[in-house]
Amino acid sequence: MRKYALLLKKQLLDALPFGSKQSRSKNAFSYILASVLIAGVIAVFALIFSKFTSTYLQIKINRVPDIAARQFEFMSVSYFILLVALTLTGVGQLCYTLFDNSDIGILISMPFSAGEMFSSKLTWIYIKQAVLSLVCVLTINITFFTTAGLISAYNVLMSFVVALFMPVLPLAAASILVLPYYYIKRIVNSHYLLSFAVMTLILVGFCLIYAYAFGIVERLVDSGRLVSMFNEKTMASIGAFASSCFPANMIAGVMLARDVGKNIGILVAVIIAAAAICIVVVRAVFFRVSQKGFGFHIPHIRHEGFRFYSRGRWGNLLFKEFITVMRTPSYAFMYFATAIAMPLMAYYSAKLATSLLTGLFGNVRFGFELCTFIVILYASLTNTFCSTSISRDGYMCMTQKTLPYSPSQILSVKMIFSGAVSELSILIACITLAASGLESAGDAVVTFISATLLAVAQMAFATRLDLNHPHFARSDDGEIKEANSTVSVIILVGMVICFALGMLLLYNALGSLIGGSGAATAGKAAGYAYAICIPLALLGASAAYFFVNLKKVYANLDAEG
Amino acid sequence: MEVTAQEKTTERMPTIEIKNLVKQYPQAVAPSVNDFSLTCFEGEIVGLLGHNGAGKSTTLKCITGILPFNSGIIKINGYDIISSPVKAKLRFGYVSDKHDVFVKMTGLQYINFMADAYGVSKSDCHSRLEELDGLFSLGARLNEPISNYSHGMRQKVCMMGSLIHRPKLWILDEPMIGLDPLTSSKVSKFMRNYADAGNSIIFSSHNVSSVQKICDRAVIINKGVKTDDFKLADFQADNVDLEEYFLSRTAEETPEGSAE
Repeated sequence: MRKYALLLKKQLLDALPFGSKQSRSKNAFSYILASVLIAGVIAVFALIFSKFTSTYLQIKINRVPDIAARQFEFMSVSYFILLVALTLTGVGQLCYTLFDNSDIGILISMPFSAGEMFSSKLTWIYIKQAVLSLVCVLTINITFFTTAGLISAYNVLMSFVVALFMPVLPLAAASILVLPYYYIKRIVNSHYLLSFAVMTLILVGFCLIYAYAFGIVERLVDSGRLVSMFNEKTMASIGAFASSCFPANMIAGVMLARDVGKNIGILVAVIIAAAAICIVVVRAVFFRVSQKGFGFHIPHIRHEGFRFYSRGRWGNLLFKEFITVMRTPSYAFMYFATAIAMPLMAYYSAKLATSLLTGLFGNVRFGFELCTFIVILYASLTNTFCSTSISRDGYMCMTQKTLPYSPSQILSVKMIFSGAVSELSILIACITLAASGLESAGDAVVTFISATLLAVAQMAFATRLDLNHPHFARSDDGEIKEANSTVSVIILVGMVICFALGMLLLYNALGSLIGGSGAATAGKAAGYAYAICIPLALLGASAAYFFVNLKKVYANLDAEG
Repeated sequence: MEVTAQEKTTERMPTIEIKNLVKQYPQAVAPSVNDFSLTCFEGEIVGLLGHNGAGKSTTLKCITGILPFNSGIIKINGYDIISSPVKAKLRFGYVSDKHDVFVKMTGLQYINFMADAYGVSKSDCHSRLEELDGLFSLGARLNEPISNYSHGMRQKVCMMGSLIHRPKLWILDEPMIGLDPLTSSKVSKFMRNYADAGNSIIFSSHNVSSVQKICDRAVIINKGVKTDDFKLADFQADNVDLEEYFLSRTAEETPEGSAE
């Protein structure tokens, strides 16, 4: 028991900012930043969720409202989505713990039994899943019950109980899925054409869901109702799904205080069975991995002889960046999927925002200001991939320092690679916005220039920040799985700047509108000036930050220090 | 013991010239390498001997440009590592003790990457790879991602990558760790032939017998200070046991983990 507690404590200390004095303040800063961002996301989610809840509960079928049925459907579907999400995170956690985390190799040689290691690791996974579940369940339940006017001590108490026990169910599903997932992941990681195909499929799926979701919101904004979307047929399907999505519907029943005894009895039995499955399966895999390893043989295309490709010195570095990103699914998704999806996201957001502003101000055109605001905001969010460009080289960045490349060559190639993806994304977004008539072609050119200047400024700032404070990967595959302060800073600074510039542009457009046509022309010119001069000044500041003591900082870069 | 200047310069060009190297880590109270001077010549294999934390790896990292240093001069084939880093780096190949390679590449892609970094032509690449594969025997597994490789295989592909441009100077940090006995023996022979072809090799080790077997010269470093620099042939002629001598020179205390 003492050793089990020791192992659990070690994992807790690794995860929380209680390490060495030196790392404590650094870690605490990244935790605070990440917490601020998470709090922001929760607030926005709660706001949208609340609006959607009140709209959904008012849906009538054949002009007859049925609030109780709507509540049950809504909660059942919400819990179902949450269970699926927790299963996905559970698969990720189990895969990392069982296969990717190299500490098993160290612990196995220490006086810990396999049972102690297994128990501590499974407990730690459960704790992480329970924390995630607690955040999600509390957000969903409190928002729902407050909006529905059903909030009570019972709801709050049951929210905690459900949040603590619910993670067992997705963990059982995850324990069954983890082996096939690991096998597929290994195959996909080893074949980058396959990886690209999978990524494209995910991207297509994401685009379809995004377009569908925005379609719903747009109709809601246009008509003020969701009835057209949720017609009789759709509602019948949702009702049928809610009745059959076991065990999510049981949890919904408990939360809504319906058939409490029966539902709790069934849920307890299911949770005990799920816990047993999880323990048996994970234990079997863990013991196999820790004692014999789990070396799948991944089939590869065997080439006859050796084929070389001469890429030149610059092309060589670009190829290295490309391979590193392409063969790491999370990076590949971060780079290509979000960058390619960005124009679509910008288009739908601009369309929706135009509808909203037209509703508020009549037929007033804010095309340029709105499109520029949206493009720079999305570009800054998708550009976060450049905030790990140094760290993702891992310990190889030390060997790279021995190669005949200057620091400026290495860093400029990283920025060119990030920049090419980002610029393409911005260009497609601007062309799409101009082609759809949301802004004129001339305005789109200014939007492109503004977003380009900001993107380059962000990349220079992020690259230098990562160089100053690299966060090298802990796992053998070199993939950075831990969130770090650089990413949080880049997101936060990017959002603040984009909101400030966007609001300035909109405020300027609104102000000039009141002053008549002469003021409107002057206001437009001022808008162009703001859109170009402010990013230009930021680029200057960012470039200065990038180049000051660059050689010295690069020389001091120490992955082992 | 000290190799005299006259002994060193028999019409051979120096491949490394280190003068008064001082390296102190930012948080450390004392230098990890202090007033270290060394000259290596073409055709020589030099072994850097020392306990853990003696400063061997730190010295090699300063030579290769991985770590900045406080004072001193390091020249590789006449090129200063500080003022002409790219020219200096073109002239050596380095194998780290961590076997750092881009794990997302295949073995072949990594060697291709190293060849392009040093500007090796496609035809040279082919012939050299055939030769290196004869030594390291990775064969068709070179077409697999390095992430699938074992510790020893990574060490091998690291060595292959560092040799693809036929460097005048081959620098290795604890090279024999992770290699199987057969490959270890092949590498030892290869080192001898490579040095005889007019190149030089410097490697760090705390394995006295491997230094005795492979090297022409041994340099003992203790607490960051060079204590001995001698030719092994002369040493063996005097019939002194190298291991005992090494331990007697470094016995007072072994600073665990202070540098490296």
